[in-house]
Amino acid sequence: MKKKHLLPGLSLKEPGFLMKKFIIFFILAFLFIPSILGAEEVIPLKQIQVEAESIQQKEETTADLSSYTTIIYPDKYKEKARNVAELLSESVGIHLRRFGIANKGGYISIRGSSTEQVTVMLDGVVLNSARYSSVNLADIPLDQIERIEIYRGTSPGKFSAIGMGGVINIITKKAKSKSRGGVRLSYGSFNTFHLGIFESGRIGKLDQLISLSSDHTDGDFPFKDNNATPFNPDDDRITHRKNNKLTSGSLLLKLSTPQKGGKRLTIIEHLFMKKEGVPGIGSNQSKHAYLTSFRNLFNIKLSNDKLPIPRLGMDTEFYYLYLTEKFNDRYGEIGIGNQLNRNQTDTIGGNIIFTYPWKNYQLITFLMGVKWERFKAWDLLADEKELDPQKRVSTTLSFDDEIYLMNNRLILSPTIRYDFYHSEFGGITSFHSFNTESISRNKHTWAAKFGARYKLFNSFFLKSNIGRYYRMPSFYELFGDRGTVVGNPELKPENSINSDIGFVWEGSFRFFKRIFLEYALFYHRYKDLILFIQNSQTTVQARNISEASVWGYEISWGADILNFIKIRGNYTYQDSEDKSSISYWKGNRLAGRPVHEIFNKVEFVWPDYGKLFYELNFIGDYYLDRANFYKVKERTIHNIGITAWYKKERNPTLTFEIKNLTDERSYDFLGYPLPGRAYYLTFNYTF
Amino acid sequence: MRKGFFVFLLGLLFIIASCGGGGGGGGNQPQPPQGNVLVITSDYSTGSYSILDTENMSSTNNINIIHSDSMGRYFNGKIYIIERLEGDAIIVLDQNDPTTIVTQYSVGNGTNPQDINVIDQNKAYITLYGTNYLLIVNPSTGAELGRIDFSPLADADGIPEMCEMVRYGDYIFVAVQRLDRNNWFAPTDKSYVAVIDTKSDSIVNVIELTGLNPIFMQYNEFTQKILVGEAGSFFDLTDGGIETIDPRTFSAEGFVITESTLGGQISGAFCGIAMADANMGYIIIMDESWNTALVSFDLSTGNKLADIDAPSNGFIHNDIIRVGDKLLLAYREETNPGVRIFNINTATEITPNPINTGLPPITFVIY
Repeated sequence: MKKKHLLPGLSLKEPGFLMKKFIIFFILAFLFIPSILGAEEVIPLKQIQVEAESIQQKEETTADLSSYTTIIYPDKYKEKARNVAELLSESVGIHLRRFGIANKGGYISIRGSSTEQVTVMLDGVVLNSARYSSVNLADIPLDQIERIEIYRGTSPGKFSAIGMGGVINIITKKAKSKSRGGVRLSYGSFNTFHLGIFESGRIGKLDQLISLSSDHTDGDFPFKDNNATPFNPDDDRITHRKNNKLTSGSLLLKLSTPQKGGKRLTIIEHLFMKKEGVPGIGSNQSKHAYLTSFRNLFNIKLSNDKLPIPRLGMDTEFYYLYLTEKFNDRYGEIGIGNQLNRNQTDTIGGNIIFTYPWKNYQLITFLMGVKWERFKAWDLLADEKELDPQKRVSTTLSFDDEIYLMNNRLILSPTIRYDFYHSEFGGITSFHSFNTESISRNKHTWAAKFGARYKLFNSFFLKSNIGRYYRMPSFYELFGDRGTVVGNPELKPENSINSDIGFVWEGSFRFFKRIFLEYALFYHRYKDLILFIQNSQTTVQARNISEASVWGYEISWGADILNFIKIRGNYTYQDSEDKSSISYWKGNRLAGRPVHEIFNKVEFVWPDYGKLFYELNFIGDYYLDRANFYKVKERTIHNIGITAWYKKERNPTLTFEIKNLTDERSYDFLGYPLPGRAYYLTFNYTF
Repeated sequence: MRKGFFVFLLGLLFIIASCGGGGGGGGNQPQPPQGNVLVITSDYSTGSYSILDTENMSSTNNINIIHSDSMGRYFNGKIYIIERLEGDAIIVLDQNDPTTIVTQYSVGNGTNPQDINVIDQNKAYITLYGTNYLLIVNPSTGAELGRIDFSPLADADGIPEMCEMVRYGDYIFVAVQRLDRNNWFAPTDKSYVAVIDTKSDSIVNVIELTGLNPIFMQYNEFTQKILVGEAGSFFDLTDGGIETIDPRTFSAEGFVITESTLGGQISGAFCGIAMADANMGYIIIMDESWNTALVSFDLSTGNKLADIDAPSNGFIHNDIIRVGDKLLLAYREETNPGVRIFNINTATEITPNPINTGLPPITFVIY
């Protein structure tokens, strides 16, 4: 029988054909089922979402009404010395793993996921590259951010990418017509310095924003070096972290046309660069190895609500993301021979998003996205310096619906999504490799979610979600590198089924001006997880060899007591289990996932003068390794500080804080000590 | 490069250039091994060791946590665990109670020790992969007694890549790989075996090998020759082989069997060789798809005899060693790893299932 092609790359016989039929059926079903159920004509309600810092309900729109979402407004932390990773780590369901001092690396896990399974978006552009799936959140300057949305365990259909653990959506400051600006200056331990400046206002017919940010640290904190002889305490010594400096800078430029005639054009140019020493493990610190990075994100967005079809809205964006890194270890101090490597990733993409209120009780969003990505590498010490590039083209079709029933008390939010990936590699994975043929692979995959939110009574909402998500293998996993990592082009995407249920409530009672409580019970089941397995004496290879489950619950609370006391906090319990068939890991807890994690903050406010604050962060014990041999004992980090401000305007502010008051010492990765007590002074002024 | 991958690569890729860990030794020992077996285990993130009971086919597992890249030697009543890249230390155990760590000492951060050869209770030599000198220490305390300069034997990058050692009488034979660190440890033009006089602590002879990249050495007690496994390039299945060295004349005698006749690459990190008699022996080889196999060979004919355990999917066979009439195989298949035991004369497997060693086995120490 001659194959019939319905869509590019598919035939009747191929599994993807059935998937596409299902998707079309799904879409049609959700367009018509509500009318069968007798849905009323109501104006779709704007998302009411609870802000992480404020417990007051605000009419803010997020991308998914039913998901458990944390929203952080960095401006509310501007008087403190914080970066993005530190801020996120204070949120429920989030665990931060660091390699050392805060500026130098922050990798986030959501609800027990791996860091590669968390998608990070900056102004709608996915920062996770096809080469390396993890994103270092310390590379995103806090001063330039307007809002951070953390979607825990779900991925909104309105986004161009999904994450198995969840999505972190970072939105930079808006260019506004009203003139405003600010400066934040911070200095603290280990010669840590930060300067952030921004200014925004109308220039001619355009709204503009300029923001500059600069950071530096020597990172030379003291730690106890056991000399890699844990059974011999006689050679232990206190030393300092060496070759641990970091200097970075960032520039954000935004131009926007005013909203006119339903149209708005925004152009964003975002530059980031850094140079950092790479000290390696504590017992064998390198003196010379360093890493330089440069990132350029260019983004054009056009929103248009005045299309020929009434009430149809369209958002279009085009972006170009350039990332280059150079790693210099000419002296072979980091342990794998001498290295001088340069990597470059170019990404070009675009999305078109249509929104349409269907019959006044549904809000439909349809997204089409295309992305082209290319990774190139140079081994600058080798005779043959340039590797063949690795490329990927991906297309995305996503349908998202919000269905309003029962006079807006019940909102259903189904999403379905189809993705097609074409990955190719020019040929030689390594001049050592036996395989010199070019490799290309096509993959179809899908994701779906069904969520519900029900208003039980005033300000009390029940929420639940279930969804299927995936992570495509990275170039590194598919094609390897120059010799030690052998590619595996047959890798399947990792996938998971995520589910949660719980409630959100806020109210007031007597002298509690505001009270907030959120509870979510979750369960994630992961399959086809990719691990690197040694496949010869000299090489390793990625394989779909692992499975895992994580279940737990999240509790968030907040209270404003009179006008003087503010309490915010959360507790995360997560029980992870390795369910792979690897006998020596099966049944173990996943590495780097503490069972218990608590954060609580208390502020005592004197409205005319300032505030005292205290933060507690308790992290229960966890294992550093999959074999569950290396256990990090529980630790409690105490932060205290005092902020003084000028009059009731609370501007400017001056804050002195002590982080890690009791000087707790620990590790997130074996051999990489974390700093102890540190002091910071921060000045902030907005105008 | 992402830091996460640094950590990952350090955990798994120490083996890109290192030495075998099987067998070895030779020379005179006042307190010879008693035929007990210590199994070093690792998942390349975490390491440990187990005590194997070959009679009852059982094992006492996960006795202590050690570095994930370790190998071991036995000398004169002591077991020495060499913690290699990023471990850079020696753990000393007592033969009579290997569950208790007697001492642990560093041999220098970043030095990447590969092998130890103990002359007596006061002196031992340690090869260091990351330096250009051979270290002389007190084996009980780790106190440095001296260094032997190996820089004249280095290639252009200045590091000679010293590897395994074999003792014969008053001489120590040291494998010198000479790999290019600027080119992913590719072999250079020559490789050597250096001869150390233990009385003068000096290099007295340098033997140029027929092949390149000596990854293991073992004293063949049947022939009184030293067997040297020369892998050549890890990505060329035909350029290596096993060569013999006559320790009495300090001469290399050429290949007695080649990778071509064996049918695969002589493997690197932990693969030694196990001899049943003067000519018949066993070795682990690898094909172009990274599949390993345990094969037997005959040195008198220079031919492979048989595939004992057929090629498997990926790197499964890690090391072999002889204990009496038994051949022990470190078997690392993910769902059912352990030690498999064969009759060394008939190649018949004795174990119905691999003996579980906790973490998968990587190498052995007979003590």
